Parts: sequence; C-alpha cells; structure tokens
Amino acid sequence: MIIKLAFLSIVRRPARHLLLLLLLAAACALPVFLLQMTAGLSNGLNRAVEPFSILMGAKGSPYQLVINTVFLRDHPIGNIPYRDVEKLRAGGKADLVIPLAFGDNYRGFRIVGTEKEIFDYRPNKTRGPWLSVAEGAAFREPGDAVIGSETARRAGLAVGDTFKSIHGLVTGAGEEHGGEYRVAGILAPVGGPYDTAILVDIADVWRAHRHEAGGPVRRGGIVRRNAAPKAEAAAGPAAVSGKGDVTAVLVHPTGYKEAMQLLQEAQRAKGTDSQLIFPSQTLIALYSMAGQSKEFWQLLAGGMIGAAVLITLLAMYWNGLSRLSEFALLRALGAKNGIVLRLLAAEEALLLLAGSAAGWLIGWGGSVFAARAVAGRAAVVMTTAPEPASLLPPVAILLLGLAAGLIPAWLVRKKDVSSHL
Amino acid sequence: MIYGEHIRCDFPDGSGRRLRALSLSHLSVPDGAACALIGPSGSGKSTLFHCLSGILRPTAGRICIDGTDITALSDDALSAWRASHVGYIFQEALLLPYLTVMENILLGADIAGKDRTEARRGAEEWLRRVGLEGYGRRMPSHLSGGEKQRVGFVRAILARPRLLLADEPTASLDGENSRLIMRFLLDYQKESGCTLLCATHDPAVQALFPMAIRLVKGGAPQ
Repeated sequence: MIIKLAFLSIVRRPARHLLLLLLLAAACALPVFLLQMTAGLSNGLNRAVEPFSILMGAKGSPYQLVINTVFLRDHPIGNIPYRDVEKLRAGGKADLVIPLAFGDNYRGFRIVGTEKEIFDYRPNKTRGPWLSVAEGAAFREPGDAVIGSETARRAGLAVGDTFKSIHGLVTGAGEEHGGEYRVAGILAPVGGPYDTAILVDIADVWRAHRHEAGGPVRRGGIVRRNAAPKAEAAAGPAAVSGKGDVTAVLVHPTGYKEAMQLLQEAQRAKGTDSQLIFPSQTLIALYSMAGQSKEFWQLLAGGMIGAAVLITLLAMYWNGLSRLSEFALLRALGAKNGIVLRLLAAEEALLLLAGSAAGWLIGWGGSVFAARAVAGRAAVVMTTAPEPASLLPPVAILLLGLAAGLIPAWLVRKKDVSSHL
Repeated sequence: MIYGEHIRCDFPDGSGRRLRALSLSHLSVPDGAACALIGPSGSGKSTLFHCLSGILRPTAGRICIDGTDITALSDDALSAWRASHVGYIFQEALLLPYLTVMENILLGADIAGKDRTEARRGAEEWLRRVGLEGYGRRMPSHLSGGEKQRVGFVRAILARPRLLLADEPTASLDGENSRLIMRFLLDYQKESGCTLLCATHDPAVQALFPMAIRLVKGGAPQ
C-alpha cells in the first residue's frame, strides 16, 4: 500500500513533482559535470604524458618542450644534434631512445619526423604499443607517412593518398615543400594529441629541410613569424653528413635508478645545449603555477556539492511540509506514525532516486558532450568514462535529502495533527 | 457508551500563555444514540471530536468509549483503535487529490487492514446508494462539493465503525446536498446502530436529532 500510494502521489501530480525533479536534477548535475570534467582533463593530461617518461630537448623552457613535444602545440625551443641520441643509446640506461623532429605541417596537422621503432614502444609493458598501426603499415619507403586516427578523419586521408607538407607549424602559414608524402598507414586511436599527428621517417624531414637549406630561399615573412627560427630547420649543420638535428628525444629508462642517473648526468654536463626533463613533473609544476591545482578543483566541486545538498534539503523539507494536511488525514483515518513516516520516506526516496539519477546522467552526458565538442580543437583529449567521484553528489543528495524530507513526518509524529485537519 | 470526565484541552497561544480550547466536566452519550453537538464557534466542538477520535490527547481528563479508556492507550494502539472503531466525516471532504474516488474510499479499509475485495464490494454498493454509481474511477477534482462529501461519508462508514463523528458535514453544502448527507448519516445510524455525534450550527440539522449536547466557550455543557 505504501509504495503504491507513494508512486501514485508522484505520477498523478506531474507538474508539482516535475519542478521538484528538475530542481534536484540541476542541483546534482552541476557538481557531477564539474567532477567529470576535472577528472577527464586530469586523466587526459596523464594519458598524454604517460608515454613520455623522459624528454631531452634544447635548453630553454621545460614547459615549452612539453607543450610542443607531448601536446603538439606552440613552437619548439630549438634543435639538438643527433649525436645526443646516439650517446643516450650507448649509455645503456634506456630501453628505448626515439628522436623526434618537428617543423612542418599538413593542414595544421603536425608532421613528426621519427624512427619506426616508435611503433614498437610500450610505455606500459602490460599493455600494447602506444602507437599501433590499425590500417596499412608503418613507413618503409622514403615519403611514407603514418597518420593519426583524427588526422585521417578530419583531413579525409586514406591509405594510399598523397599530400604535400607545408613548412612551419601553423596551417596555411607556410609554403609547400617539394616532397610528397604517401599515407602508408593509419594509427589506432590513442586518445591523446598524437591522434592528430603525421609520423614520417626522420630522414624525410632532414631531406626536405636540407633541400630547402641548399636551394633557393623560398620562405616568406609569414613562415618566419609562425615558425621557431632555430627549430624549423631540422636539417641542421650535421645534415651534410646524412644525420640532421632533432627537436626532442623520447627516452624510456630501464628503471627508476637509471632515470635518476640520467637526470644527474644531464645536470652535471657542462657545455651542452640540451636539457633533460621529466614531463609529468613539469606538468604538475605548470598546473600549480597556473593556480589550477587538484585541490582548487576539489574545493570548487566540494562547494558545489554543498550547494546541491542545501538546495535538496530545502526542497525536500518544503515538499514534506506542504503535505502535513495529507499526513494528518492519514493519521485521522487510523494510520500509525510508522505508516506515515514510511509513506513519506518511500515517496521522497523515489523522487530523490529519479532526481539524482537524472542529474547524474545530465552531468555526465554534459561532460561527454563538452569533451566531444572540444575534441580535436584542444591539445588534451579528455576522458569521458564515468568517474567514481561523480557518484558522490547523487549519493549525498539521496541520503541527506531523505533525512531532510523526513523532518516534517517527524513533526507530525511529535505535534498535534488535528490543527491540520 | 461514551463517558468522559474533567476533559480539558489547552493550546499554546503563541505568546507563551495557554489557551483553553475545551473544558468539559462530564460527558455521557448512550450507546447507539444519535446526538447533535452544538455551540458557538470556539466552544470546542471540533476539539471534542479530535479527543473522542483519539487524534488529540486531552491535556487532562479521561475518555472511555465502549469500556476502553482511550486516553490510556499508546499512540500505536490508539491508531489501531481509531481505524477500526471510528468513522470521521470532516467539514471539507478531505479527499487525497492523487487518488481516485474508489482509492480514497478504500484507504480507510486498507489502513484498518480489512479484506480489500470485500471492502471494494461494499464501496460499490454504498456508492450506488449515495447516487455515485460509476464514480469509482473519477478524480476528486472532477467532483462537486456535495459529491465529495458523499465520498467522504462512504469512506467513513465503510469499515462499519461503532462511533461516527460528523464535524459540521453540511457547513459547505447547499440545501439539497445538506439534506442528502443528513439523510445518509441518520439512515446509516439507524441501520447500523452505531453512535452518531454530529457537530452543527444549523438549527435545521439540530432538529433532526433526538438529543443534543451544547458546548459553551471554555465552559461546561448545558
């Protein structure tokens, strides 16, 4: 009888309860949205930086090195000689040392000169390779390119298609190189910035820039303004010997001890133009510097949950209070206090369940929508999987809302109900 | 039989003092009587009904109904007693707006734990008798004031209570509906032999009852 009465009370008064449901859903959705977005951004950053255990690059801002190499944004600091790559490989402290060279783009998608070992790189030994070719094959011939899944989708490129690279790092801002690339393969989605990359053999990048360095000066003012002067000429002084410069080096150490040794060696080295950084630490420092630390977001989310709970408390208290005459009637008909209390609890539980579930769905759906809306345009690909923390607002609303809603029923128990008849 | 002595009900008046709503040194109503309860506004007619039904515990005094001292019962025991012994007709019908006519009528029987099938059969029979046949699925918002009061009457008598309290049941009705309700009440009282107390201001209604209890403001009955 109690559940039926509670259910009928809700469904046969839709206008009254729809407003209450909307209020509950909105109160729940806002903190859920914020928690999802915060976690999605944080996870996206972590996922992007995870493959980059250690980065080596030209001396300068470590932030710029991370933003350029990990997130494929902004301009490189400069170049370092290829012999630094060979030195790291010879040192025996790294499993994998992969050179990266930037400087060109195709319709805004960065061309990353690298070596084919990158396709075998497993940042986490328990999982598959970071960059695996889903369609076609890795580059084998000069001029072969492997493109990211987003690059393929948005540029409309398929295996076998050809394109010409543009000098510089910003779309439409440079001139075409003479060489043409052929799409040899398309990467499986990685959920990070490298979904929008174009990977080519580093020798092709050197070749393109060597040709340009030796040929007529074709670059106009637009290119100079938008490309880092040092880094864009990845061919470098060693180009004549076949090996050019590199913009950055991805290093995966054999262990923690070796990683620390590499760092100490880099710090002790004198007369070198390179720096060695841990990108995850740089990212944390960048976040703290911007004042957008995890604590800040947690505080904001906590405040929103508090506001949501307060709104729920007031709404449910008002809802219960407005029903006093109905409860008084039930008491007059012989209903025990326990029945009235259970009826109100059942009704409020149904309302709170529906409201908080709808709020969670709206908050989570909103975060998925927002993540998809900025995907491709933002450097960080936000994760959209439901976060355990996002369950906190609906649970808090459910429990505290129920407690607040039962206060009027408790008043009926303690007070004279005859005045409400 | 209803028997009461030294019944007193006080309420806080909001300024820290106590307001006396009812003071009755003695009350006696024979079993199976039909009795009008009369008196000016504020004389405590509704308060006395609330006390007799156990909805309100008197500040002082004792009330015995059919040998049960209801002022000594626990809250839950009083609720159970009320569900099975008292039928209450309010000035306004007080139907739950989200239940149909039939659901409202069966609510009292459900609370009293009566057999639902039998209660439904009885409800249909009574709806026919009060001229509301086929009204079971209607919502209260689609009923007139007189129809609502008839539904309230059926709800009150469905569990066949031994004590029927009607608190100014005709106050918000027109002449025709008032006559109908009073006829149903008195017919049922005769038929069932229950004790009927009916609070009223209306001399015409008062005249229908062979006996009356007169309350005065804060004083004893005359």
